[in-house]
Amino acid sequence: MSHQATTASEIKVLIDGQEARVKPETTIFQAAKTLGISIPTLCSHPAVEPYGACRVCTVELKRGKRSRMVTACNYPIREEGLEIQTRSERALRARRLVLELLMARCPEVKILRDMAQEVGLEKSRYPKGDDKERCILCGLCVNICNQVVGANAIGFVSRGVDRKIGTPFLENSMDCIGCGACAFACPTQCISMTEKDGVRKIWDREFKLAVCPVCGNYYAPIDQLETIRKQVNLPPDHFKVCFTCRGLKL
Amino acid sequence: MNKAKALKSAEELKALFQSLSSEKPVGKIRVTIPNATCSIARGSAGIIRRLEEVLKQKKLSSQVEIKVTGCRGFCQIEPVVVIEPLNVLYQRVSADDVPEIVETSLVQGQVVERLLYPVSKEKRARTEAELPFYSLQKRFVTENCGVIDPTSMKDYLLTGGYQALARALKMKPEEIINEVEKAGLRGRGGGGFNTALKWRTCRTAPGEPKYAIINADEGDPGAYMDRSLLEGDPHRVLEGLIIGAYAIGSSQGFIYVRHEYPLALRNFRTALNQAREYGFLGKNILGSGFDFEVQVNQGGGAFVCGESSALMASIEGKLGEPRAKYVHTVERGIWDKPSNLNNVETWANVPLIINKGADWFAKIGTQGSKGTKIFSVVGKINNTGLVEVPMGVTLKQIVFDIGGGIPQKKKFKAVQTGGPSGGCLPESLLSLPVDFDRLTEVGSMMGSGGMIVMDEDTCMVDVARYFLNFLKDESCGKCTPCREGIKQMLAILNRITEGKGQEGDVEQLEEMSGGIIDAALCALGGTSPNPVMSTIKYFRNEYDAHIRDHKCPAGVCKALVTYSIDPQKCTGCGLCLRNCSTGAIKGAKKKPHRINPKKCIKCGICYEVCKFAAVKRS
Ligand SMILES: Cc1cc2nc3c(=O)[nH]c(=O)nc-3n(C[C@H](O)[C@H](O)[C@H](O)COP(=O)(O)O)c2cc1C
Ligand code: SF4
Ligand code: SF4
Ligand code: SF4
Ligand code: FES
Repeated sequence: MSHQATTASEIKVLIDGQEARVKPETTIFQAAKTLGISIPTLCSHPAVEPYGACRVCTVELKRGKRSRMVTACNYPIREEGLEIQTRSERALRARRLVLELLMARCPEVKILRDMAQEVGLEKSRYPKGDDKERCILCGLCVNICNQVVGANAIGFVSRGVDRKIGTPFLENSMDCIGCGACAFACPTQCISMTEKDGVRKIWDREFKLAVCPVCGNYYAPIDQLETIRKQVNLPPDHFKVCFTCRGLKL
Repeated sequence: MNKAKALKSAEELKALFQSLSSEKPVGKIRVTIPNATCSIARGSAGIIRRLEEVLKQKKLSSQVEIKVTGCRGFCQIEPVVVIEPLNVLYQRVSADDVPEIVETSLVQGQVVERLLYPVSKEKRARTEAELPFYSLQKRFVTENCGVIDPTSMKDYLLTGGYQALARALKMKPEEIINEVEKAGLRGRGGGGFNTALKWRTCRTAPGEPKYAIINADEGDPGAYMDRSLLEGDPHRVLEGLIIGAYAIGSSQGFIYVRHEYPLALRNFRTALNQAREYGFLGKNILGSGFDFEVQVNQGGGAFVCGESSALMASIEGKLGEPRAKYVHTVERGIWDKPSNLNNVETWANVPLIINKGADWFAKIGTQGSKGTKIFSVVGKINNTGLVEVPMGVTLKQIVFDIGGGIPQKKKFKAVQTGGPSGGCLPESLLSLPVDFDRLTEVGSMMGSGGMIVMDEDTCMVDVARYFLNFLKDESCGKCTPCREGIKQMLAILNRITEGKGQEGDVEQLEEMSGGIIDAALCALGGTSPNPVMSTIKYFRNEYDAHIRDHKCPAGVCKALVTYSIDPQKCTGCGLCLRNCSTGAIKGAKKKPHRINPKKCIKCGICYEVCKFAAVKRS
């Protein structure tokens, strides 16, 4: 490699003409953030490994005369001499393509329209898909469930254009603990989660919610509390009182 | 052969080679019959069975050695039978020919003329060397395919097998890498990566263990060179892997084989077991202190699993999906350890380089592409099969000299190279020397070496649509540009072939192509616009004809053609009427017939069958 990897702990990088100094392995997205430059993202989230699927964060990377397109969310800065343009014509073309395609897939999702406006795109020229389709297949729900919750309750079903998010074989998943992390993480709010009379419904399953003996409110699915309690080896009545009341009592 | 004793040194291998070479042949006569996937499909197994029966009846079994081998490449003329020392090759043999072959050729020593390959109307070829198909070929990597019994270690050893390994184990790893570098070997799996550079990066990358992997996923439709190598000469591929593993410093190998390749897998497994028995795998190989083992992994058959990061995820037992490779797999691959993946054919080149030397190797080929390449030549061509030619041979030589040109005196239109996401090259590029860089320059690619020849009856818009449809089905669906982009490009192409194209469609396809190339996660999506862009580049007039004139010049796109019968030419023979499956043709005997356009489904059968060219397609 032409540039010596710096053993010193910081690497210099130019982003949209501004200089940043970052630790090796810092992503372009993080480096840009230190300069106050924001790059749109859809499939990355601080809690999980960058997945690199939506491609909306595509930027142009130059090293010497060579230029290539990379995704900001997962490109690790490991060497000197990189110059990044987050809004070059080529970067914007890629971003527009992605957003125009996603808007055709999910015509009613606002976050897409907002991002599209930002790159000068009003509407999609492609034939519109189902109005009810809200999933952009960013994979955040799956990655949160696997990497953060550790439940591995949902995943990708089918390939290619038929790809969907779902429980294995689209049957009720016994691994789901009803925590709702997937629904909270979803950027388009397309995972249905409802609560009624002490029962939470998600992924076609019903979860009984625990009632707090102090305030009388429902506060979390019993399955979830049990799972956490066993994982961390807590006494049986550890979660008996809801978080708020426990906070008050302490 | 009895169970072998593991060899403990290069010297013991040499001694074994000498003792094997001095053994007397089994019988006076040798009959070689390729029995690989392609030949089996054409009945080779039945020929072998029949030959064994006839020989037994005639009490000739002890005098004749039957050698069952892999494929000799010329699949069109399979099943093939080669007889030595008579030195004759019979083609398109059937089991019923066997008694005559035995009587005439094995007993009387005469040639069965009618089974020889017809070079022209007057002339028949007696030996393989006389076949035009082989004239320009240089069969180095495939030298043993169709010659040795792939399940016999003895056969492989007799060709000098594992001597490259013995030599390599006496070299320093870095010396081997330098040799491969000097040879100029580039990966045969598609990208044409510099093999030595990959090996060196993997060798110096921190992390243990390191993995060495054979990519035998071979998913390109129509390509089967890797299958043929594994079926016909598995030890060569394995020997290459062991040498490479030693150079890299890898103690664990994998082979990733697609599950549709049962024979390739069986032969490779046999080779693995034999290599363990002889001490070419395991601990302290040939007394060198080098340990290496190989594990077999079977792919689920998804095309994308041939992509390096998807393949490695699949070996780890995860979903076979690509991931970002900003840190290369040679640094962080399987379980984040340095992992070097090479294609079957790449590995098969390695023993050749060690045996014959980098200088010898580098003399073959062009400036930037050294050695030979195996191509599978299929489509509208007279001689289909696998051809191994030096890099730099022209498209014309492959299509016309080796391939024998286009059947039925049709005109050549295009040759598609590089697999589903390669490009279509027109007649004006026939003199292009075929190597990695030239193909990329003209908007196509080497890919794994598939070549599909197309004649004048091919619609290039339809071809683009066909490949894009394949890629749509094979996209893993992870990233937006590929999953959604190919679908939308396909929708535009579908519209065009249905006669509903609009001004601006071509420009939109071009714009989308640019974005998809830049934004897709892996090379499947990143190269998916190639079929579209290359057909726009070289056959723009066909797009325009569809869009502006609502015409399909080749008469392929159903929505744009109509069939009618010329009453002047029609003799009323009724052949079309009898062949039409929907009863769309009416007419009295010996009177001109007519096609009812409401019933016609445009299958074109009438056009094909009419002997008087009375059916018109427009
Ligand atoms: C979609 C896709 C499919 C691929 N399929 C294969 C394959 O079947 N066999 C193969 O050797 N390489 C395949 N490749 C290329 C591999 O990713 C990799 O570059 C290659 O195995 C490296 O070996 P080489 O350097 O010897 O060519 C594929 C690449 C892509 C993007
Ligand atoms: S609600 Fe179920 S599927 Fe969603 S993150 Fe929690 S465990 Fe996973
Ligand atoms: S459900 Fe939501 S989080 Fe999950 S992939 Fe779809 S859009 Fe992303
Ligand atoms: S380019 Fe296609 S095959 Fe590759 S990761 Fe994206 S969706 Fe999957
Ligand atoms: S945020 Fe980078 S690819 Fe989705």
